[in-house]
Amino acid sequence: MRHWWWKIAAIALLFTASVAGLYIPLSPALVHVSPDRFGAGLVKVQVTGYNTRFHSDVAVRLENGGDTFCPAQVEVLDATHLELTLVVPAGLREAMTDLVVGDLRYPGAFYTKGGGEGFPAMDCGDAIPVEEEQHFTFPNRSILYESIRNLHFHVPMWFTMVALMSLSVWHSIKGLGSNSLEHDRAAVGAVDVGLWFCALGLLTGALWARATWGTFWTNDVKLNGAAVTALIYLAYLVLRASVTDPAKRARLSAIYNIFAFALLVLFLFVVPRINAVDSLHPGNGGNSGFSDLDLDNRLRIVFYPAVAGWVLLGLWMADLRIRMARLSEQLDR
Amino acid sequence: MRPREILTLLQLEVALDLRQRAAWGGLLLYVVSAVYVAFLAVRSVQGAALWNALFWIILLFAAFNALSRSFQREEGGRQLYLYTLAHPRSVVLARTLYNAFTMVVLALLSLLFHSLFMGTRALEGAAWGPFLLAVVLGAIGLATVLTLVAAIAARAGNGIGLMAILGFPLVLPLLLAVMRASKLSLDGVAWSVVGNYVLGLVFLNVITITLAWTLFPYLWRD
Amino acid sequence: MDLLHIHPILLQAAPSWLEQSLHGNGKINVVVAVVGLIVLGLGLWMWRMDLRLKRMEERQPK
Repeated sequence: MRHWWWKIAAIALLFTASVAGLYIPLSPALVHVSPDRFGAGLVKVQVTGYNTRFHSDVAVRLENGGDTFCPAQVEVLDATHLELTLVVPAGLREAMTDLVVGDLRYPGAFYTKGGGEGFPAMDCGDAIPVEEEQHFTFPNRSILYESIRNLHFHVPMWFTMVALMSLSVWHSIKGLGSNSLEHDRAAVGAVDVGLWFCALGLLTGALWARATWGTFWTNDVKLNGAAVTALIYLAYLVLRASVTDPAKRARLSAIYNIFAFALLVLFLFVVPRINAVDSLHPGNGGNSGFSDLDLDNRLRIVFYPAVAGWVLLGLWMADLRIRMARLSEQLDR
Repeated sequence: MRPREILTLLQLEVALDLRQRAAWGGLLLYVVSAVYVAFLAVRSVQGAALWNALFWIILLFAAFNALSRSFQREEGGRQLYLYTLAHPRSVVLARTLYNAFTMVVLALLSLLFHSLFMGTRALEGAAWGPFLLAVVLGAIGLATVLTLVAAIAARAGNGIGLMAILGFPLVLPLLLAVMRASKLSLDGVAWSVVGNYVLGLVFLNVITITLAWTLFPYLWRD
Repeated sequence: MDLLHIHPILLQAAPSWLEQSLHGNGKINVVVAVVGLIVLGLGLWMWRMDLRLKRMEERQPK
């Protein structure tokens, strides 16, 4: 693998994807209302937006079960804060009321006691978009908010690990058929680097989980898969450590590698399709693969290059590792 | 497929086992002791979840114990003799089948002891048919996965310790499926839901046996 | 009617992270610079390692 172009490509892709992943702003959204429950009557509500630019003639309305009512007064405190004075009508139909500011909707923003008959609809003016120019932005999802950027860093770790482990299995298969130890060296080198990416994936995932789900670890099918993968390849290293004869070591570890990889593929990609597993991972619930994440095209434009960059980088690291092992073995002779 | 060869090998396995009956005794004692320790630790099992979890954990370690010896029963010279006589694929099939049979027997006996000590109060309203099916399939699954792992560990010269390390992550997905299926059937859930897991388990067993069948000849060359 | 008497707890202020996003106060530039530097530094390190290995491989007797 002496051609240098793919190595430059690795760094270039990684650089642009990482910078873009951090720089591109999130799209504006309404994120907080206070208070978030009221009954009929007069109430003042504070609305907080994220990356919004509220202007003085923003149109605000509240929607409840198909009926609309408007705030009596809208005060724009600054680009991201509004204060609404509401006279809430008595006939509220449903329990949850949506808040619509310009073209931004906050579904279920308010809890209101439903059970009414409805009320005469009001016309609150046209929905002028909150921002004049449309920039390129990332989706702004509840729970995730800015941490959605982690998509470009955490998920490629797994793609890279899978690529490296696949490379390792391929070498194991070739190694069983041949007599040289070259394939064995490649197999273990790929596993070494792959395990590092597995560790990074677990750590970054734990941090992200703590921030969004509140806990470092949970009983989720993807996390179980990650744990099993780590255990399998650590066991692979233990197996190699217990056999001293190089030829035997190559053969035994190749057999374990192939067996384990096949079962792993079954577990990671097939089992989730057989039973409908629910999971905390966004968009998961029966599929695997990255269509999982309910990917938006705006995210994909940065995500695919990020994956490509990290995979190429991982392969480069494995290449360096394998060459180093080969050289040190030659030097030992 | 050489059915006659496999049949002969199976008879060999039975003969070896009969000669080492003490091993079975040891195994059962292991299970009883483990169940008793669990009983002392827990005293009364309130829910089906805990009952099920303890059952499978104990069975898992008993499986490691039972299967690690399957490739260490004949000494080196006799193994070489076996190698010249029988095709390695027959050997692995025969061993796997016999191990599966061993595991099923072990699982049912383990279930018996478990029920005796832990009581069956936690199991009101259980669907016994699906539960027994899940137990049997799980036992067979453990055998299919762990037979090849035992062969690898035996070749590496390290017995039960290495086998547990190598086998545990491979067996984990199987255990997850089997524990969920058995827990669901203990809760009395309908067959339609458990059926999915059962199908998955059967599928897994088939694939594992095929893999072992493919890979074993490389292991046997020594 | 009890919803009219708003419980004080419900009048929560917006969470602090909303007010302090790195994008909002321009500090994202520093983060991007740091990450960019790390990526380029990693690339440079690997490039040099690659060249070093290549030189050692060429010195080996075939």
